[in-house]
Amino acid sequence: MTRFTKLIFLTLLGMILLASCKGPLGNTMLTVDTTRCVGCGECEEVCPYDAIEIIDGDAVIDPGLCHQCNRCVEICPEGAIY
Amino acid sequence: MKYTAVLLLVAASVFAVDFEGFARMQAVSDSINYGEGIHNWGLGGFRVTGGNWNILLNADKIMSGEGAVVPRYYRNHLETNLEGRVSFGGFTVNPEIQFAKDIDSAYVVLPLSMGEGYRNSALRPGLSLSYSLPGVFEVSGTGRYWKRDIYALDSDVDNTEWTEMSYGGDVLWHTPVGGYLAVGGISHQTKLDAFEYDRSWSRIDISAGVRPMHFPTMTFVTAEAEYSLYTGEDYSGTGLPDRFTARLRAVQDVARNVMFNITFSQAADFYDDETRFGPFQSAIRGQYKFGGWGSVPSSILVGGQLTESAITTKLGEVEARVSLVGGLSALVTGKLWYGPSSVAVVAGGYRTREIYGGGLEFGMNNGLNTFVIYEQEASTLSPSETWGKIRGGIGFYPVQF
Repeated sequence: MTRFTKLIFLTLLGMILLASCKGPLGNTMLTVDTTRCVGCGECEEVCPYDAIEIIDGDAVIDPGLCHQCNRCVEICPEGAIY
Repeated sequence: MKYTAVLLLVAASVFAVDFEGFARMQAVSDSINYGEGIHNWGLGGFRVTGGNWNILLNADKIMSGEGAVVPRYYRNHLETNLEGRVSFGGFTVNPEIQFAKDIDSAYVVLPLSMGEGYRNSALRPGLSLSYSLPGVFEVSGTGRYWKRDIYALDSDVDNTEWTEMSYGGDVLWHTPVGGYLAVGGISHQTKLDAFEYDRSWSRIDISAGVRPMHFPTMTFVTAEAEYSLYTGEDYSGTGLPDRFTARLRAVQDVARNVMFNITFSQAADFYDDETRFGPFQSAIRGQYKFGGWGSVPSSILVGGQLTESAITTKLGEVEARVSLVGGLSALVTGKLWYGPSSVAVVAGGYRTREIYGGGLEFGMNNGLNTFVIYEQEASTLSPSETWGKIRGGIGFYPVQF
């Protein structure tokens, strides 16, 4: 079995284990995909709770302040917040 | 500021340094209200670089008008960032300070049921330290402090005395078998003394992954698994669940100038009495590069993304920059987006946005770059709305001394 085949196998196994989980609760925190975030600051501008800050070029969401109003999700030009 | 400039001039006269200056301006206006679009004026900045150190200063003026249909909120403030970095041996010291001053007060909703407030200014000093032994291990730590002058409207209390403190660090070990193990943590505290509000949360991350693996099929794969232990509460006073996240990224070169980038991540949240799915993200982007002008190639990018947490977003996009002649390039953009809406008439619901447009970009060898792009946007509201938007910008970077 090659390393690549092993990786695919382990990923599929992980997906099967996760499939036994229930769906997300309403207060699941938003997440920033740092591979897509370009640090433009649009989310920081629209957040009415001051919960987002651009630090080291990526958006950082403070879960203690986030009310999950989704304005940042809506404005993000890269689709990096979800 | 005056003393900083003097110090920099003295430093420049004593040591051999490189000096780069830059400036940029970008404005967006739309058919809903041409006068109150979004304006980002790069007031200017510079970077001074010595042998093992650099100092970066950047100042911006950001203003946006309120919009009735588009999700746009009123802001008008100045923001200044000053950052320094010194490296010696494997050590790096990175002090920074950010200062924002509101010209017109920015609207802020205070935590819990404290009503509304207006921001007057904000100050954020910070310090990062790190040590790296290449290929063996890396250690880093960061601390930041926020002081926000925010005044409450719906209370007898004037200044909320809003402060925050954050500190954290991590240790990463490169294992001999092509992977890495890391342990890190962060602690964050938010206080509004005037309201006796004091909330904190902290997290410990344990992660393991493989460094980029190259396969003969021109495939590059990275994978990571992370377990995060949370303590503390979120805004609603609910305990934060621990979270397991698995991430996979693959880059496939089909030909020398055609590339696909595929990412996948899935999290699981562990509550006291049950386990639930956390955020899921999956995306694919394909890019074709050809020709171009100077160091900027012409490119066509096609992508799609699906994300799910407590909300769902879907995104399909096409973007192209095609060099026409000299530094003149044609810009083409198209996006189809589905996701949650914060627009009042569909609050709590979802809407679809269709954006398509085109424009021109002109670059010169001396660093001057200008662009203008017109976009048409339609959104499924009640009733559905369509509007035009024009974006333009000019930048000058860098100026060598």
